[in-house]
Amino acid sequence: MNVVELNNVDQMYAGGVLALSDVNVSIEAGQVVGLVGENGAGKTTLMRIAMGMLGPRRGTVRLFGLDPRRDAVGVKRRIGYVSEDQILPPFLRVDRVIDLHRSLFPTWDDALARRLAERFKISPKAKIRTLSKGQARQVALLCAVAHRPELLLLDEPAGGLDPAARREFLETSIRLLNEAGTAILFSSHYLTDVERMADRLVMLHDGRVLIDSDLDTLRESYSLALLPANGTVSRDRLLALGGCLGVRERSEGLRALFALAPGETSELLAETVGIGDAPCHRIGLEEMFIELVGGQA
Amino acid sequence: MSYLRTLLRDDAVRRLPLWTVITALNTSVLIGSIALGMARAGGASPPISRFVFPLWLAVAIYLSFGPIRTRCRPLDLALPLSARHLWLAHAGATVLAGTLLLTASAAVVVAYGGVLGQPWTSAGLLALVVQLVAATALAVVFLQGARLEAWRVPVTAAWVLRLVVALVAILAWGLLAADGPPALALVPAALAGLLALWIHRSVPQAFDLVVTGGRGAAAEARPGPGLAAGAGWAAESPAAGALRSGHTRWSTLLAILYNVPPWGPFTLVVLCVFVALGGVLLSNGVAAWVPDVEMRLIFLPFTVYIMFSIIGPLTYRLQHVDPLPVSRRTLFMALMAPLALALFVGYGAGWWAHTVARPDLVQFHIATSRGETDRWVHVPPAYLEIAPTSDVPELTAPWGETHPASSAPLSRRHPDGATIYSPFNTPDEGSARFEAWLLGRAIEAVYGHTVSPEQIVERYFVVEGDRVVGIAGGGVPLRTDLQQLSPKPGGPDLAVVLALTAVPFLLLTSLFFTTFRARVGDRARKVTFWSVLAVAMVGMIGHIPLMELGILDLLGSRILFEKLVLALGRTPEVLAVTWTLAAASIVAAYLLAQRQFLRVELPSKPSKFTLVDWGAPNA
Repeated sequence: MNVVELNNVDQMYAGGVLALSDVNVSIEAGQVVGLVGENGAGKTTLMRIAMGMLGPRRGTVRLFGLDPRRDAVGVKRRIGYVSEDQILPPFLRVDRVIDLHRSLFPTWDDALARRLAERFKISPKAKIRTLSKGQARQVALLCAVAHRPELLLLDEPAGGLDPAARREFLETSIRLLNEAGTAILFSSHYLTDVERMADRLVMLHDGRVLIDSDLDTLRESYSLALLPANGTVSRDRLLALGGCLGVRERSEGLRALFALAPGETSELLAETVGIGDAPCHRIGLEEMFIELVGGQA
Repeated sequence: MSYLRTLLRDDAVRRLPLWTVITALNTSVLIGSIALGMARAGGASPPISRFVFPLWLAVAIYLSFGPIRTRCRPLDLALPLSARHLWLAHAGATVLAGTLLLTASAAVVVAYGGVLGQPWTSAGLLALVVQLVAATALAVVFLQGARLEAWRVPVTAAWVLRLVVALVAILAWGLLAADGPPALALVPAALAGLLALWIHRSVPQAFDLVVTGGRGAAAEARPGPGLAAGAGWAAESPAAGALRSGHTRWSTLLAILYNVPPWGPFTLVVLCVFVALGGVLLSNGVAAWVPDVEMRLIFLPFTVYIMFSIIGPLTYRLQHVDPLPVSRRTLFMALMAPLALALFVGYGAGWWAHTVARPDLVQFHIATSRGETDRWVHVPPAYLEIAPTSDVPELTAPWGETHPASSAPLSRRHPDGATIYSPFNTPDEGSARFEAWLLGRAIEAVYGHTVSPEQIVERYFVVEGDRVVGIAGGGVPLRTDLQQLSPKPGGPDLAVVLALTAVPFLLLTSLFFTTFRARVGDRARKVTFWSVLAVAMVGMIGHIPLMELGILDLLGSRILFEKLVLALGRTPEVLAVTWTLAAASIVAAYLLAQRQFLRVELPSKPSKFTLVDWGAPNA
């Protein structure tokens, strides 16, 4: 049974803004999935739907085989959640926030909470509003992981943190829990983080899933072809080819992203458009993200 | 930038139109009450001191909830403007706003005076406004003396104390100087000027953007230098107990839910006080001290208004608890239970006060005005009658003496239509024995106890010839004299009042929660909230123009209501059905509102649903 199962999920916001469209995502136990996409792509909406904080307009959502809206308490007890927006009550002291979580999560691990508090150097008597952004996020992380959740949802958890704090934050949460078989879905704008931490990447664009693939496959099976801008091939023609995910027109020529290995891409281009010498090479996640987002029609 | 331009950009000035509306509405309600009291007193114009409270309340609400604490915007701190410049402009803007609101409030008084044909435009009212403006200026300067380093004064106990002192001072000055010469206003005005000069010199060059709860709070709360140096929390307190606060789950959940703008940590207290006040008024508890008032029914929309007005702000902290494994049903109960408890406690307190005070429900009054002597028997409204036409029955004593019943049309626009009459009063001057018979009838109707006319005449009346000319001992203390007197069992008042309060409140709450959906925008949510509040407010004050136009009669409505309640308690079967229906309707409305709450989809950024400047977003 998958930990997360979203099938044909749609969501719409005020003014008819389509936030998610026919989204299918499933996550198995122990998987670490990075969720990427530009601002407004639907990452937060997907997270909130998974948490049961939003209901889908269409489609089904199951966590641990349960409906997170119907069985909200049972589902949330098995989830840890940290989001950039989900600030803790600023007027409460850290120890009171931790006490509340301890009382709400039956699987709370006091030893783990103490270990994290020591590691983060959190003052338990401090009020949340007196903490720095990074410290507050660390308290939120402590609360999210100390009950050893089966699923950890991190929505831009490291947004606004300096690189050192970001790395500390992600390594703590992901390494710590993933060793125990916790499934993790985290969204981030930092593709280097995703590359370093995730097993799999889901890329959203305009509410749709553009890519859902494990990282090894992505590295091996995606390539970028650089085609001359001499009028022999058009953008539309390239987009019509099987495996072409996006084409960007630049002054130096066309940059076409293919879901094929470099060799396969060269062969395809030679056979279909008669360009056999176009340079094709593998690309990193960040470059792939830019090509995909910029190359959409 | 000139002081004037800064002053005009200040929120105290920019929000004036909104506050003028609030002030006008507020003053209308209070002046409406004064007008009712005046009507009871036979149309006599009240002394000028009666207007101190309505005018003071206008400025008190503004100083309590208006943009007083916010001296500037954060952006202003980046501009080449000194803190002294900003402080002076804000103090000036606040004084100006207070002055204009007092003027608006006085204008409402004058308008009412015009409608009622009263000379309330007198120089006395103008002089009173001048006195209050001067006192307000002093109070504003005093308030602006708090936390001079802060761009926004935080709400602390010290601020609340300062505010209370300022408000009490304005009220006291208004009462003291109400009848004094306008020149007296120079005293607080001069003091305000001197205080402003003194404080202005103490304002620092720049305001602090980061303001904490108290002067020492930040220093206490922030991790000490030892932490920064790497000593670490673990080194200070490695014990497991250090992560325990001693608070229970419920106390923390309630502390989160009930710490919302505008009241911050005082939300639960304020909510309980206001809702309990509604309960006291609904129970008619004030009748223990003052004669039964016609306004009781107005307190139904008043209580609904109070209860609903807090529901919007209470959604502010739901975002903190939404990701937690706490059921929505539990959260909904946590939002509703304090309201229900406060309403019950208030109603119970009013009922208890009424029971302990044991007021005489039947009273006999006699008064002489312009050579004519009026006598009347006061009974609770439920014992008055309504005839379908102006043809009311005559009152005939067993010995044949007959007089018409006192009556008044239900609507002034339809003098021949339905008519209120009292079976215990006559406009004629009856014989002493007849007046005693009327009083005895009232005692029997209300208490079920028989007292003969002869006993009444002998014990209470001063008689000349066969006419009553006075009351022996100055009053008719029936329940002191007749300890066994206790009112006949009433109807299911609590059931009816609860249903009429809780059901509309829950239905409106239900409607409000339907706007918490992903597809509904924040603007639609706000429009729904403020529209519902406006409707409830119209319910509170809408009676005033209707009364003025002769369309509505509060007493008539009250009589119908009380008679209905009395009729519902006539037999145990009807009583049981009433309670069952009331309980069922409340439960049904609760479940409906809960159903909508279960479906709530919270926005990422919550709205405050408050107009007032009390509590920073993160406070």
